[in-house]
Amino acid sequence: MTPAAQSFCLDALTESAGELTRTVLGGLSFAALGPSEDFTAKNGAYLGLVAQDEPIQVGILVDGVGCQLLSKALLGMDPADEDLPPSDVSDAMCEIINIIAGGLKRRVSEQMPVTMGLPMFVSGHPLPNQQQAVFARALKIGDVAASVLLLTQKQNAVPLSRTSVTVQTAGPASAKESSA
Amino acid sequence: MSKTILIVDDSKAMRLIVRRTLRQAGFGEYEVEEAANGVEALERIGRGAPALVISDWNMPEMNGIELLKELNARKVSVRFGFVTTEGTPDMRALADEAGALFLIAKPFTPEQFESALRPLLS
Repeated sequence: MTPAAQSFCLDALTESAGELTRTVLGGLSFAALGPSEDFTAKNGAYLGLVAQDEPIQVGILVDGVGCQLLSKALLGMDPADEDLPPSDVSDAMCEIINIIAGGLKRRVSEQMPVTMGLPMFVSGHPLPNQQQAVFARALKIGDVAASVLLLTQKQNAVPLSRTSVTVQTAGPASAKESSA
Repeated sequence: MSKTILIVDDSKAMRLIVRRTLRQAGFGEYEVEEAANGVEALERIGRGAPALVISDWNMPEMNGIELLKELNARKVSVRFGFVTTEGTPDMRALADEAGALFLIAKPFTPEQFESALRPLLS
């Protein structure tokens, strides 16, 4: 993916996150804060796509408290309500990245064909691996610090690092341990 | 006319959001039932057609367009529309061709629901 296409996709991801915030997140405030390189100790929801015949991933990184707050906002709950169980947070975060990715697809489909995969929620910090180049924008959604990510395959990628992570896909399947 | 709306989506969160949006759009008088995929929806519709089916597109087991085509193949007459992340012109054309009455792209507003559903349910 060219630098221009990466920038185009990041702009579309950011716009899509803003649209999500204005609509199904109950009108929380939204700010795009610029490039981000803070990928530490976050939870993430990711979705794989094929764009211009290249496999990429998009994601949203948020800490655990932020995941609770965004999930509650999506479900129309008050921030002070009792915390959601992990399965509901996973489901909600997967839906959030699903909507953001759909917005990306709508915005770029005239310039590049995009095929969407299914979302997954990851507890911990498995991404990026050494095969991936990461481009991110920092966001503020209500009181939640978040980043939207675009992960592309590096040319001449090196072998994957061996990081133990917990992956939970959308739907009823339970969490499982895997190595990335 | 039946007073039931069937929501078909594999995401529990999205089923809840669609249910909430139906209320906000003024369709609170309808009983809402849920199915997690096309197979469950077929089973539910087989027990009696609801007033409307609102279906996601991408689902495991049987996706939304497969569900609509299966209903057509079985000659089941039911109002059917999509609420999906994928609102590209190609997918809208595919939905139209299969007989979908609307395609609402996520994220959506109650006003979009009102506009798309009111002509069908009044």
